[in-house]
Amino acid sequence: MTLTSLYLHTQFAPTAIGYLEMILVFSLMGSLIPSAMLLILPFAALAYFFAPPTFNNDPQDLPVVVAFLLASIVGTHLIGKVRREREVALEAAAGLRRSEAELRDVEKQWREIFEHNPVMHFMVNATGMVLNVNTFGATQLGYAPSELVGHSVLKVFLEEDHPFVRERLGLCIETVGQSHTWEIQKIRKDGSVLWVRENAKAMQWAEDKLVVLIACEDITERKRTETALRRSEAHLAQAQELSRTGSFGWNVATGEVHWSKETFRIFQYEPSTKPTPQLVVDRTHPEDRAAVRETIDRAFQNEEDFEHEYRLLMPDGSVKHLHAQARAIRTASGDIEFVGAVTDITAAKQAEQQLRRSEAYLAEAQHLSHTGSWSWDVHRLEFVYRSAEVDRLFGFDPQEAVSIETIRSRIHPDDLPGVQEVPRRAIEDKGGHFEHDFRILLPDGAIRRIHSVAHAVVGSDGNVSELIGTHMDVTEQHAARERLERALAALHESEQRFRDYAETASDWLWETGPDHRITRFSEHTSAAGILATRVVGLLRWEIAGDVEAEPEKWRQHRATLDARLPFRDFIYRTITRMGSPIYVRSSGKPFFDADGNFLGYRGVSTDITASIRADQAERELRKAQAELAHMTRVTTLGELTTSIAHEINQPLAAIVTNGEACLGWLGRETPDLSAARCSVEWIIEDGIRASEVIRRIRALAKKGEIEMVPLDINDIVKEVIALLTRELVSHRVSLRTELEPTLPMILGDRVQLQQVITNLVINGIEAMQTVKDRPRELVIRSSQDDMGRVQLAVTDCGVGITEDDADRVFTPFFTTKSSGLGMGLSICRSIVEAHGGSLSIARKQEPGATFQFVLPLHKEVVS
Amino acid sequence: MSTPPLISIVDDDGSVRAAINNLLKSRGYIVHTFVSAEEFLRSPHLNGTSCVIADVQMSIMSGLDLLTHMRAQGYGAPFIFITAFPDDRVRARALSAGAICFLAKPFAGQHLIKCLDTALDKHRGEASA
Repeated sequence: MTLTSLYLHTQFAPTAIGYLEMILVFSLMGSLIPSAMLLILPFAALAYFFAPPTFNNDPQDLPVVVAFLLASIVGTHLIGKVRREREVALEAAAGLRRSEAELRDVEKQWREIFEHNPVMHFMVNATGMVLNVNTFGATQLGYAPSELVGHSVLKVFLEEDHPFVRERLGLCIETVGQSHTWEIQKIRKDGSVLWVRENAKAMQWAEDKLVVLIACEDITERKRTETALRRSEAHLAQAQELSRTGSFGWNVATGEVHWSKETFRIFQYEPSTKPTPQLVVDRTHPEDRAAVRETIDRAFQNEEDFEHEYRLLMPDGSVKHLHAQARAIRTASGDIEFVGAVTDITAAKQAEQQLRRSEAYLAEAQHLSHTGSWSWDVHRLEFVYRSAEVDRLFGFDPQEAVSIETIRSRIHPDDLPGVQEVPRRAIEDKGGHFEHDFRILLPDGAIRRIHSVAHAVVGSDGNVSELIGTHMDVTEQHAARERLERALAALHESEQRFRDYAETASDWLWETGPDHRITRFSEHTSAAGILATRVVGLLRWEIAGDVEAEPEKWRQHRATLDARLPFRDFIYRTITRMGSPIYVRSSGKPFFDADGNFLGYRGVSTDITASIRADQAERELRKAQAELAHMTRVTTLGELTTSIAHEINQPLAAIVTNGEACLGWLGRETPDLSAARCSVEWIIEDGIRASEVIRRIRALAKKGEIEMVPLDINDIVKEVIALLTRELVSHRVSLRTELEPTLPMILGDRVQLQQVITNLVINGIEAMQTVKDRPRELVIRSSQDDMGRVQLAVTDCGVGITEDDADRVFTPFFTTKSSGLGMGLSICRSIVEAHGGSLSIARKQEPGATFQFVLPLHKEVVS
Repeated sequence: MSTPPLISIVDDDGSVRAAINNLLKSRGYIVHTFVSAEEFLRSPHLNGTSCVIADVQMSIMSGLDLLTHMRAQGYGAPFIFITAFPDDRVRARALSAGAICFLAKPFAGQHLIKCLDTALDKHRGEASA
């Protein structure tokens, strides 16, 4: 406008009018601010371009300017007012138009929402016919809405759910305005099924019709999750039950405790019980209670994981072993919660105890059988396993690893090559069993003998990787075997020794069967002249030649055999194959098998023909000696006649005299009967005395069999003295006896020993015949010598014996006396020697001599 | 018979001694017995004895020794010897020594009484003479 005006060189007024028109136009456009701006700009433009000099210079312009200002203000104001009225009218019309459109939009929006709400919506009437269904819902079911509308809603339900659907619809109709919710399966067009949660409500529709609005939420996924969750819960419960592991949670801050079903089962509480940590403590075995409490307290205080094992004492008294483990977890709210598992390990514990026990049994068995088991790694050259018994056998420390050098140091050096060679071969041969024996040399020098049995185990590479075996301590067996071998050797030696004894002591050995027939006959000397072949199978009494002659002897022998008693020195006569009679002495013992069954007799026999003959000769000799002894006794008696007569005459004199006296007492005017009776009593006494003397004489004169009986030597001495008193008196010899009071018994013939003592006493008396210068004393002394034998000495104080005579006194027919046979001392020596003793001169020279003899003791058993 | 004669018996055999004592007492004699010659010699009856009956064989002092001893002492009492060893030599010696009798045991009682009577008669005669 300004530029145009400049170009045209218009005047101030037209320009202002142009400006004014422009301002008014702009006000008509309704904009106050541009109008105001336009008002100022034209003014500025007028002032600048058209009025140099300014207003002052051109006063004619001032009215124009003022008119311009007023016209533009008034015009603008009027135009603005008209404009405002017109705008109000326009706004009213536009509001009307706008609300109509908005209504349409809302409906459309609701329609869209209904159609595309990701929730299935059905509207059905009371009969169940679908009045409406949203597109989303129909699409979900694989239908177009038109395919559903007008049809029964049952179409989209499973056949078996139809009654339920009808029942639900009925319920909604009955309770108008109330919401009902249920979950149900819907069936798609393609037959697949989806889970929905239906929210339904009946409402009044137009014209008093009732419709049921149903919103269905697809909960298939949730249902699947739920099923999966339920399944995994079931699995968990089952797993817990199977593994006997219960789970628990314990929020320390809230004190909330959760137990799984299995936890209840383990602790044997009703699942309805409210679980608390105290319940755990209550069930805990009293012995473990403190430890459990401590573990829980510590975990509680330190807020840390815990793990422990403890026992429960169940109401029925049984004991359960539990292993519990829990982790301290911080929850979202910052609390500490323990989540854990508790496992019933009773079975495991029992199995463990069982295992431990069976391990103990095995160890015990190994210990008892002295057998150790081991496994050896052939590459690493070390024990993979070794039982306690192996350590014991080798003397290893169970705690320490054992190097191959240590093992070698315990092997006996002589056995080391074998111990290395045998396994080496097994390794080379790639497997198989091997056995070998070796000795362990313990540090203390003790030796153990080991029998080792092992097996080489082949690894996956085909090479031997391991040796598994046992070491058995056979030291004792070895020692036993050695003992047995030694015993066997000793037995052989003993057998040989006894065979030697038997063969030396006998001429042959024999054996008879249960029927007493000879089964074996070892003739080791041919001296007997009996052929084995001729006697085997025969009975002893079939061989013997004296069965008829001595039936009693054989009867007794057969009784002994029948009683199965041993017999000894059974003597019988038989005939040699040369036809000469021999005497056999046989001894035998029955023998039995292990069950005690009689098997027969075993024994030895000796040809004793020679000794029988010798015995016979000796018997003859004895007889002769006895006769001689008797003869000398009689001779002695002859010599003693005077003394003996005296001994008899004394009592006889007394008897006769007393008899006369008796008659005298009776013949008195007044017979003295008392004195007479006394006389008769004396007569009787003296009669006895006389007969005693006669008995002694008869005994000495007796020519009887020698009778060996136990005797006290002192008794013999006293009897001899009784006979010789008068002899001693008549020879003016005083007798002294020193008899040891407690002497053992000797075995002898009374008469023969009396004869010996009598002889010695008489010799002593005679030896003192010439003694005039000293008392004639004879001493008889009995004692026991150093060897315990009974000794008797007779000592005189006579002339003694010359050296020459000493050698000859015991020879027959030696005598220094004018009378007598000179057989005395010779016979005495024979008698003493026949008694197993000896007679000697102990002292020869004056004064006097001592003769003494010793006799062996009488013993029941003489070896 | 004023006083009964006193007889002494000397014998070491107890039963013989007792028997003679018994016999003589039954006949009313007064008798003393002695086990040995020594005892008799010591006894107070030595002097009053009218007759000695003595055994010949006694230990230590025999009957003959006793006779010899008494005669030597002046005692004249008659002697009767008794013996169980009737030896002729001893008999001869006894009788020659003055014994009234020498009797062998056993002897008959009557025989002894007879000897005793003889001895007492002799003793009486000697005493009265």
